[in-house]
Amino acid sequence: MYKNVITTGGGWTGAVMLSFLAKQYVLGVLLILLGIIVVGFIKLRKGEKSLKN
Amino acid sequence: MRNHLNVAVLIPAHNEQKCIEACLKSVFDQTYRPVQIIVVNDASTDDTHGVVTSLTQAYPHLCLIDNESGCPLFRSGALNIGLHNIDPSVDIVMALDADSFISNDCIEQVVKSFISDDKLGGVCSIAGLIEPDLRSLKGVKKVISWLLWEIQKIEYGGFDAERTATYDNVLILHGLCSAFRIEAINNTGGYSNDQLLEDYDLTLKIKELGWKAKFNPKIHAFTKPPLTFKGLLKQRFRWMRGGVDILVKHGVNKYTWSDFFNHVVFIALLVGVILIVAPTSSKGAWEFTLNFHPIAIALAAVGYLTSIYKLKFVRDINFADVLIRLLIIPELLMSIIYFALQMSAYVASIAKIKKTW
Repeated sequence: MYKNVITTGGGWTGAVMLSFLAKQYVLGVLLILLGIIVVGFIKLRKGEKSLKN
Repeated sequence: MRNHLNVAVLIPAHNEQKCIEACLKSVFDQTYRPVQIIVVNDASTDDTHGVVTSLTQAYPHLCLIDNESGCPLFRSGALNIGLHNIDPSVDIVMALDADSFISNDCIEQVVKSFISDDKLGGVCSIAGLIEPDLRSLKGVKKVISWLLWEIQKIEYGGFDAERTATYDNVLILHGLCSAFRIEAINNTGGYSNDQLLEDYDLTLKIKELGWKAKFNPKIHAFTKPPLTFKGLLKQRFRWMRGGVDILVKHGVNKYTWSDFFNHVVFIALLVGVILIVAPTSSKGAWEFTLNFHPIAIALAAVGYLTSIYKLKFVRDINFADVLIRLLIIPELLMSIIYFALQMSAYVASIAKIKKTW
């Protein structure tokens, strides 16, 4: 539930936030968020492949 | 390794006279028959008792237990009563919501999961939504109900995507339809009566005892989503508050750290939003100029593309679902509401505000 909130809504909130506020703190948080989304996607693809077999 | 396991189905029911028959019929129609079906009628004030009783004559392995105290024990209490009445020959216990139904090979798939992995403590299903009949509604009410249905339909697809990504170590063996090895659930001491998310709590207890918690996409269960804002917000607040309470209870360990990490990221985002919204007039403190930083663009692009990819997990997808996701705005507005709910969940948990189910 929270993960959906931070990856879907949070992704956009973060992008808008960074557009207005390019500070190091925000950069760090949003890089982590980007990492969560990318790692989540890689895990999703792996999960799909494993469950197909 | 045994190739036949005895399965019992537990169904807690509180005022479910309209739904329980459909739920029970889906259990009766299974390709793999359970040896015992227990309905715990939890202080219902409607005719749940009568509906279930009328079915016990045709289905002798259906057992009805009434909580006649007049005081509901809620889901966890009702399930614990069911657990105490399980036949000693049972190997697997399946817990099912009374307002849901399951596909006819559901128990067969559950049994296959447990036979193929003797370290498996619990397995959960795909969570599908039952399409509501909105024909009786009119005007704004109909539009709102339709929009809430569509948003939840897409959202539940996202939940299944998350379960697929973590299929061999799911966060929650959800209450809609999960099955447990009797040995694992007995070792945990059963469901906790003081938790709003008793399913999350039980999942952690099972994992902490060394059992696996998995997702099997071949197990299908369907439930009714709330179609009013009040109902949806009440449900989501319960999930969020319940989630925070469970983490506080279990602390940081190898099964909870990733959930803790998500909360930390959430709070960090929240602080960023507050810094933008808060009136900071001191010179040079924060710059409120629009600048399209590459990370912002990458985040928006990657977030958008992955969210579109996750549409493949939405059941019976239609044009409206795709449009809602492509337009972003409806889901973004819901996210803002969820942000606010999550904050209130932290406050409620810290302040130990009385829990309501």
